Amino acid sequence: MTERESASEAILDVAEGISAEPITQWDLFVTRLRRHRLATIAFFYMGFIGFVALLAPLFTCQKDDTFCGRGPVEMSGLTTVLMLATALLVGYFAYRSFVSKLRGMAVALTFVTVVLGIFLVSSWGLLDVPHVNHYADQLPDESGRILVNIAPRGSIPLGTDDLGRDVLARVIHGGRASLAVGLVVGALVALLGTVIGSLAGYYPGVVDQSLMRFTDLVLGLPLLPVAIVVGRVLPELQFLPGFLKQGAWGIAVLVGLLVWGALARIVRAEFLSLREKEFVEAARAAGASDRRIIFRHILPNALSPIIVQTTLIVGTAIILEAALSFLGFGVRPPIPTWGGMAASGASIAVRGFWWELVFSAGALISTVLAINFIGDGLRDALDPTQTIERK
Amino acid sequence: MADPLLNVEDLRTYFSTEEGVVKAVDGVSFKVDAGERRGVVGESGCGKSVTAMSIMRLIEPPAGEIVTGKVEFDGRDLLKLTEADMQQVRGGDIAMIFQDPMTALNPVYTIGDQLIETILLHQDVSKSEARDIAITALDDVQIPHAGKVMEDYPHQFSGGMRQRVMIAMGLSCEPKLLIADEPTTALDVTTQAQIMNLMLELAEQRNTAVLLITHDLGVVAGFCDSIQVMYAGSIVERGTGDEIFHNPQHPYTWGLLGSMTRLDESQQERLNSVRGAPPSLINPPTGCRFGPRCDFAQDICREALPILHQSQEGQKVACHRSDELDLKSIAIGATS
Amino acid sequence: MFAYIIRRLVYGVVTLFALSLVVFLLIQFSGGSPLDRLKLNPRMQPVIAQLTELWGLDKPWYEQYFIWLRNFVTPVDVPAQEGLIVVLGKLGIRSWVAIAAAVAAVGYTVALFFVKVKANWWRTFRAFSIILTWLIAFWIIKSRIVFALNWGISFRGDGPVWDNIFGAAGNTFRLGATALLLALIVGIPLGIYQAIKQYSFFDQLGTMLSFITFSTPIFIIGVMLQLILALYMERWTGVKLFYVVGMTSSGYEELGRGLFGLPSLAQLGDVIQHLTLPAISIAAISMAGYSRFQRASMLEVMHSDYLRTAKAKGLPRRTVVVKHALRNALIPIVTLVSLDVAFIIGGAIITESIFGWPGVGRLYIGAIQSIDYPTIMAVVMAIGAGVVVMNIVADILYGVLDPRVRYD
Repeated sequence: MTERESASEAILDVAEGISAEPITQWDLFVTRLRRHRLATIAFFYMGFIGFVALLAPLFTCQKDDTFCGRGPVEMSGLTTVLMLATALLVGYFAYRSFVSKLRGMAVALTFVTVVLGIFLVSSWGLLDVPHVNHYADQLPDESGRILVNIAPRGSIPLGTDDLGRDVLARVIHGGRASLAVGLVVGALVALLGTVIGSLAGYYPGVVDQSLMRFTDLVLGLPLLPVAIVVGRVLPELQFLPGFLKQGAWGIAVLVGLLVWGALARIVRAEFLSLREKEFVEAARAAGASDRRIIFRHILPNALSPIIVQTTLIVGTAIILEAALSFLGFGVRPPIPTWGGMAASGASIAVRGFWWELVFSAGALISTVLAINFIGDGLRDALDPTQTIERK
Repeated sequence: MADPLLNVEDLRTYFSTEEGVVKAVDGVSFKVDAGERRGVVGESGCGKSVTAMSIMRLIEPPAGEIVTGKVEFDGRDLLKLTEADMQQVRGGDIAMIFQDPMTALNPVYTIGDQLIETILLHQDVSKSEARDIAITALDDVQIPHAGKVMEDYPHQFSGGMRQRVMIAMGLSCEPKLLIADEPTTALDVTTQAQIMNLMLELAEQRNTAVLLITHDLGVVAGFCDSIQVMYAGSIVERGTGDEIFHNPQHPYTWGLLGSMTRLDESQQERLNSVRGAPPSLINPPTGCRFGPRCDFAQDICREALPILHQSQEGQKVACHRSDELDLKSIAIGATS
Repeated sequence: MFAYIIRRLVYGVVTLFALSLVVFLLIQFSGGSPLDRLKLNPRMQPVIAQLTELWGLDKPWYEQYFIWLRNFVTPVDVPAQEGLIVVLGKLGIRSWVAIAAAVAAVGYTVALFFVKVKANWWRTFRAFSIILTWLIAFWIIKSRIVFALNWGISFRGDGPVWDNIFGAAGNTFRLGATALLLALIVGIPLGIYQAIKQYSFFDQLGTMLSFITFSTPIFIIGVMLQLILALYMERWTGVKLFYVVGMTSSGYEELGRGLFGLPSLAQLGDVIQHLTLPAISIAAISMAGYSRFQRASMLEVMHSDYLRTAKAKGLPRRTVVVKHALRNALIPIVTLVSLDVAFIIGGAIITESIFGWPGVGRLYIGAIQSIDYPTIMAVVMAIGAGVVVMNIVADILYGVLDPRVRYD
């Protein structure tokens, strides 16, 4: 038994009342999360995907760009290996620091920084459409012919599509749209759902009634039909600022505005039950203000369902964006998205050119799967009532 | 002396978990005679409920397993019966009542359905006869308008009334042994007394033996002929009510009594608790399992596991030092 | 109960209002008025003047909205200005039969809930008789229906929207109902079996597979099924098991009719060959969801106190599972299924566009592409209404199945 394992054993001992060493909630959470092996792998995988998507412009670039020589073709060789190795290394160290000494604020800060970084870089990439045009560029061979529908081979590991573009480069870039949607929707849903849910749950009567009727209204809208309409007219809406009309931003905001209802309901239910609890009564009796009660006493206790539900909604949102892009009402070509690539891949797969479809679909499925595993792991790890005796 | 109705010998029930094997019941032996009322007392998690579930063979593999032991009932070893024979025993010869009456009845069937189902299972009667038996059973547990409430659903009843239904269900097939697993814990105090009196009366009428499992010494006090105290998976003391209450031989029993509110003693006295928490059942402490929490532990207590033996005072006790200690003269809980 | 249904209906109507307003505004504010779009379509040139007058396309958006709203609930054949009361007077005898059937069905349903009989058989009888009554009523209404609401004329020149939608709705219903049925009859037993054999290899495999399916977008499932089970399979083995486009083959009518005008076996086979793949595509994710949900709900019941009571009574394991566990474990899934209706309709939109299924979804995608606003509005409203009604039906069903539930 290694030292690390015995450390987590000690944590379990405390959890079961066997020993009395003090442990933090964070230790407990990490230990529980680590027992969910799939969630651990999923965390790792998402770190990897995030890193790759974040740095996508560095690894794939225009063919006449001096930095990368002949661009995607060359990158497929040594650069790919280097990139994967770096990503794995970064993921591993992030994971190590996550589970060991780095705690609380430090972890939160790191997380926020990374998220903001991904956010900024991906938005910069997605906003500036001409700049990222390189992934729409076609691969010529030595004699200058365009390599259309080339099957995966050594120098082009994932093949090329029907316009002769490198599928690997496009899969890497496509992740940026999905991750941007995931992050924006996650933030938006967590914010809207928590604020509306907690207000409704904490202030019964008019506030509760009006907010919940509004929530019911939003939940009552048929998701996909409405999303399709909005996705279709989004680039044509006159009152929208330019950056929302194109790329993943507008889609992300749209999806976020449609899917927060479920979380609001859950948060409200949590608040309703928590505000009747004795510790809240006690805080109230001690003269705590509403604000203090909400932020210091109720919200921390309602955090687990918020985190878990948000994670699951992020998975749904990524699927929704992909579906919109597949139907042609999401992120428009030539900006690559996994959904859009699946659509064009499906049309050429009929002729036997399966790679674009399979790799874009694989990336999409594995990402959503990882998010769902994380959600599942978080649910197990955050549930304080969960008994230790699971086999 | 006639053969006992129930003879449990060296029963061991283990649960396998991620952390290791939990020895929930670890070598329990006892006998219950026909018509006897036996109390089983102990903290939560001491194995008293698992003992009962093991007797009924309701431990679900693969998580839990009866490792060894013998449960002789009416001369048959229940652990060796086929599942089909065991089903005849459950509800027919041995009935069981559970802790929480609010959840123990199936919410989607009427009281009548659930009673009649039991009766048809164990008695060779027609449906309408079964209905009459069920109504009689409900009458016996003093439920008003028995004929009418047959069509009611459990959620229309209060906790006390549901527990009465459970008792009616348990006794409707005239079992020889009734296992009551904390039957009154979930009820409020006035209802508790009613239910206990009802059970006492009905068991006496039918000469049904009762195995009453509880953590509440007050409940067993008035009800049971004999009491056994369990701690960490084994029996630490067994004797008549008088012996246990007035002359405890095991420090744990002594501690338990000290933690009980008593009306017959002066108000001044403070309530005491047994210090510490029950031990892990995965890696129990070596020697006496109560050792780490015991005020009188000596070296021998840390080395050898005491076995249940006849004490000088008459009851059986599992303590190395029971004969030298005179717990009766030490004010209860005085050292702590 | 009655008041509860009324309240739910009112909320439903409000939701539909909001829905129509949102979609209407979105279309209004996207690149020019419907009139501008209409002018671009050469097929619509002859009727532009008429449509402009009828729909007030040159008026401000709020007036257009109210005109649309009024038209939406007004039967055609009658000038829109005359109002609903006059309209009823002009309906033919067949319409009255249909209306009478609907009223009778509603009346029967309401009346049954006032009859108080406390017995299991009564609950079952009530549930089934209501469903039967409604089926008969719908059959009469469907065969007698002669009126149409003024949902406008497709801006793409496809004719009246009402006719288009009702033609397509039947096809979508065929697809959606098959998918739902498939998901239920596979997903639920799967979940139950997994719960009974908890921690077995099968259970873990099932959990893993449902997790993966659950994380897979519907369009990928559809496209993959289409490619592997139809196209590639035919290419590699020469066996044509499934068709990938449409509802029937072009030579469907020549396959011969069966008795009483019912489809012949050959026709039925043809329909199944077309229906299978799209139905599986829609059903797969729901199936995974149901099996996961059913497993959890079954496990919860299996660990419940009343199941322990049932075992302690000496009931055989089979009876314990079938009689005591199943009944309780099946109740919560009713809610899930009702919430799933919206999801299945969404799935149908995607699947229909992949498999060229002439349903509401394909109609919708086509209408969206050319911003055919009467069709978009009508489809969205029809879907919204369907979801509202299904949710209410599920609530009623829940009340019937679970004696603890009382709606006040």
